[in-house]
Amino acid sequence: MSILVRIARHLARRRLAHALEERIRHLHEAPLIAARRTASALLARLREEPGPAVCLGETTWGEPIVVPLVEIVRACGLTTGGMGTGKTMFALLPLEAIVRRLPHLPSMSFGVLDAKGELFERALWLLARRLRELSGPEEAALRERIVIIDFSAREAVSPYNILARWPNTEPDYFITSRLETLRELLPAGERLSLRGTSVLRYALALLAEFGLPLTYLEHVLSSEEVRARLVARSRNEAVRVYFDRHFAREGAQTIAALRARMDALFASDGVRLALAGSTAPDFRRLQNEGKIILVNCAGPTITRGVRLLLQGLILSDIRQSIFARPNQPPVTYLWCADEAQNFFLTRSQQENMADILTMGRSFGTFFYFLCQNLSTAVPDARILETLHTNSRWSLTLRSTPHDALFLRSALPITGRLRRPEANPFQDPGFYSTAEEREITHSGIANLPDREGYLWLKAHTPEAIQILTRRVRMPDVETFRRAIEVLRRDARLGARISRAAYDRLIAERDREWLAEGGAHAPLDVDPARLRETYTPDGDGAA
Amino acid sequence: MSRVTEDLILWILASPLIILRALGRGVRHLRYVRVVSTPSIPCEWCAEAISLMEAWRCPCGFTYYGHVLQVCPVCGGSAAYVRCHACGAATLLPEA
Repeated sequence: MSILVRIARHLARRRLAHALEERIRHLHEAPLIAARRTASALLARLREEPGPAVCLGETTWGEPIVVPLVEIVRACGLTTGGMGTGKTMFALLPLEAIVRRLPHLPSMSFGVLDAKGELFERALWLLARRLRELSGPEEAALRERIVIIDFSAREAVSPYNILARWPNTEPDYFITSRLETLRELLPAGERLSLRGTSVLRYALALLAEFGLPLTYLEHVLSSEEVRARLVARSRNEAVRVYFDRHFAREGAQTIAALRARMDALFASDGVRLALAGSTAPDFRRLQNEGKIILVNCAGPTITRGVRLLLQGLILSDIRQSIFARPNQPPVTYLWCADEAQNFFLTRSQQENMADILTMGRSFGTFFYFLCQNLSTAVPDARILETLHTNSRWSLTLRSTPHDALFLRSALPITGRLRRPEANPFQDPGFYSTAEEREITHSGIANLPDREGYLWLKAHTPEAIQILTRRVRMPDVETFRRAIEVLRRDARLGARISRAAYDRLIAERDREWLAEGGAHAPLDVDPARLRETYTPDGDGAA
Repeated sequence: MSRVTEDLILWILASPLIILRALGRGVRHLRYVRVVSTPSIPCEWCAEAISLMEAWRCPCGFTYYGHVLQVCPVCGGSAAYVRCHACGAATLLPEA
């Protein structure tokens, strides 16, 4: 070797050593970088898209995941994960992004359907925080947009008369639909007999005709005077014939059984109060006007059966309202359904959801489902397939590999997963793509909290591993106190104060129940109200 | 004419060729020196950078991390060309 070569090598030794190090590192990371390249390019493109955006978290290599809000809101989405993995906190991110822009975001809005109260309370807190930031007309505009339906609240009541007929709907269709929901969702031990169902059908038809609530069922069944008064005013021939000729022949046991089953619904004060209302929210109008609807079906005194029934009834109302919306409406509406397994319990609920998933887009309404385990929530493979087909994005947090089967082909693969070698003299080996996919798929079972795979199906065939962002919340005690105040505040959420509500009910009861003195008019005293709405001892069974 | 004079005349006549050959060798050597001290060269065909600092395996089996023009300590061999990863074409390396 010439002296010149030696000198050149000596002079360049540091540069060459550095280049070698870089090269070795690059060789090691090249497949990882290649695997990230697709995700990084996508994220860069999404970040540059105009319009409001939401930061959902960051990739495992620290790149922020900022997605246009419209990608989340104008699409059906899915988040699955076990208890405590961060589903609800993740769901708050798009909601927070919308709330932060209110009231200046007229084109999109959201609703929350909550079976456990957690998402409801957090969404309520976000709205209250935003209200505090605003003032004057802006605050009033946002306050105007909030609608709260809280079945566990007793101080601020949201009337929900489940017998208030949907606008532009045939009475028979409405009653059949309601009856079906009631029958299907009553707990297994409390199912109605055929005769009981028949009595209930006509009683519901009678009450619905006058816009009276389900709480009047007791009066219809037990008070001949009230029944006669209603039947006399009824224009429904079939109902009149039934009550004039057939009702008297119904067995006392049938009536008693029906009353007992319906009484179970009113065990909770909040539920009884809400269902005793004369009106019901018109979800079609509320969606079209871009209202923010927060529905809470959970509460310490609401039993599981009642909660499921309420959810079923609301879902039925929402389904009806979606298809009554105009095509391509100006407001895109996103319903966040926490504990979504409860919306796939019965055959008709599954059919409803399938309809919403397949056709909701045309009516500007989308669903975002949060549930622990999708495959157990939706046992029907056909409906599950529809759900996967129509969900535009998904987030899979810690879950069972079986539940994440749909994600298997989209899992990010590096090709650099080292195979353990027992022999130290053997060349290092790597798992094959199929093996790595299998290992990554199995790894879903032990992902850390808040870590998962975000799959934006419309943009990439590969899911992105994500560490989800947290919405900043106050400490538990402060949060609890703030929520208690908000839940009691009847000025928030288009609710009615308990006193005013009691007066309204009393007025209505005077009209329908007072004559003849068989049932005294209701007093504004809640205790008295309770007595009146509890079946009395002399019920004519 | 003496032998010395003949040799001198021949040398003078041949000197341009000798100088040219020396210059050519010098240029090749300089190119070699330049490549030896650089971590990458451009591909002759696609201009993509070809890394010269890699893990190399000599035909004799000796494998090492380093410069491609490192002389194999086992067989004394040296690489004659490198292959471009981008286009697959080979680029000749300068000889020592």
